[in-house]
Amino acid sequence: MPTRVKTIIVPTMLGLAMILVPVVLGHGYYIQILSWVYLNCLMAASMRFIMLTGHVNFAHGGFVGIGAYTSAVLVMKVGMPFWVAFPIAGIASATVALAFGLPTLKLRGAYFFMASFAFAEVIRIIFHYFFTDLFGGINGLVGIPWPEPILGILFNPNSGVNYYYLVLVVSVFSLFVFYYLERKTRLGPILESIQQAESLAQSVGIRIMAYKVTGFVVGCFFAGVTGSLYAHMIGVISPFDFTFMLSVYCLIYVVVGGRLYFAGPIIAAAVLTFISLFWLKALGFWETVAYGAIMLITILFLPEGMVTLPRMLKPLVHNSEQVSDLQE
Amino acid sequence: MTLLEVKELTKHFGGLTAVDRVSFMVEKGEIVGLIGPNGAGKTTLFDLLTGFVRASKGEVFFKSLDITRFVPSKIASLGIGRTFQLATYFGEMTVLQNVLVALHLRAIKEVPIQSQLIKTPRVREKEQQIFKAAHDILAFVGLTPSTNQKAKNLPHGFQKLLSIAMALATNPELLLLDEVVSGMNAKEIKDTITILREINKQGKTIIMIEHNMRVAMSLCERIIVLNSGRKIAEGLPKEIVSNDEVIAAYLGTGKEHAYRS
Repeated sequence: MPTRVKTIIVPTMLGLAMILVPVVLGHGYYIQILSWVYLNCLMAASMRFIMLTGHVNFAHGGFVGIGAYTSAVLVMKVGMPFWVAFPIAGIASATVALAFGLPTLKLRGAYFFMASFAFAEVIRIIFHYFFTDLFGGINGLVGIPWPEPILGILFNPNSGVNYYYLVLVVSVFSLFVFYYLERKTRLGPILESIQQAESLAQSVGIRIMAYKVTGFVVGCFFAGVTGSLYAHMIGVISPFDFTFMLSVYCLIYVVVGGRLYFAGPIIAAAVLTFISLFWLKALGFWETVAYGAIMLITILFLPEGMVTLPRMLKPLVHNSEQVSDLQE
Repeated sequence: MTLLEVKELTKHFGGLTAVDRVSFMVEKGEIVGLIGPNGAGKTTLFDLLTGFVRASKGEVFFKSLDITRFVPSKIASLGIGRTFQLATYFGEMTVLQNVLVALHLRAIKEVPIQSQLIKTPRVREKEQQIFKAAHDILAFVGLTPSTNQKAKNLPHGFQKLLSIAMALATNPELLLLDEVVSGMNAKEIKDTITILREINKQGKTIIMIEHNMRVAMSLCERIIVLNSGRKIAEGLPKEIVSNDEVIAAYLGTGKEHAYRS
């Protein structure tokens, strides 16, 4: 693909499409689904950002939940406006991430996986059984209000398109932050270096714990932001929305999309969310099984993720041309 | 001037004493060889000096500062660079990116990550300086043609050179090289010797673990011999080769053979 197509034309088209979609579809179900897709993309991107150091965060769904609950509780029980609670939701997730990350990010591979898995359960149990007057126990929180209007602009997810634009702006901005941190600052290479050769990174003077924690906290901040937007869009949250299964979905997006590519998990999140909404939902319980199958097939046949599919198909298409080139 | 002073350094791994009361000093500007049979504790000694392994007993002084309990990144920032026994590199990154990451200690001073959030012309200029420094180091070790190759795809000899380049990028005063020519062919060894001489000429002190005796003999002004964690000899290369205990450590005393027959 020529670079100009890749860097200018495709993003512009995509951007225009995302902006104009509500004009075509109007408000309602489909717009809400699209917002949901964006939130999943953002969740996948934050999962991948944490995975740059090689840490698979099985509490990622939990951190989304912390954002959702923080924002909902602050608005419903404290009476804060959404616009204040929204950034606080991110900060709350980041703070918990700092407290959890400091002792556990030393761990690698399966050990960190186990620690984060346990922490995901801790988060779920706290929402489920503790402070029930605050978190609503097993029923969760119902009737989470919409964001307050600003200058007469309403943010009602059900009857208008402005909430869609809010989600769009926040998602695009957050993805830009991830991209910039990874590709335009030294943070990206440092985090990757820790994953690839931890002791070498230390030997050239990198304080690996400081950077691991930074990456983790940044990733979890945006997980919290995602959770807040989710809570105020759906209006209902319960402890079961943020179990380790949500983290598993995030992991599937990252693996199926391609861990090494920035766009991979985002594309996978979008594609898989659409597939699951329109086709897999009919499978009921088997949906999870179908997801597992998709992940297995990708790992076996596209180990670097589905974004490498065009590259894999290219030789098949161009083979005949190359043969004739050689003959000349 | 004494650059490094090791006092009674000891490391126990469970019941095994990997390094046993080793003491020595290294003067600024020296090239010191560290030899010994497999399992003598040479690499453990390097790990102790660079903070990767915690000492059980004893002290390490670098420029009169007690660094025994320091973490690896701190020790690197004080001016001790090292390479690893197995070629170690960031495999998925290009050779240039490897060196850029290794320039971390310089980069945190000149272009901290916070400053990169807003790319003023000044920040860009600093970034360019770091890039230039990386290219200079690659030119110095002769890796310029491989600049944009992935590190994992390099031939083994080049990977070893890359690890020297990365150690140099930390601008160390003391360079610890762990079997740096192992797996290299004759020409690469010759080139590496030239590079190491040049590094030494620039005022950097080198301690090198070496199994290749020809390299050790030709480069080192002084050799320290370890066996079973203990220092058994120290001296000029020609003294070492005629030292009875060293010969016994490498070749056996002949006694075991006598028992068997």
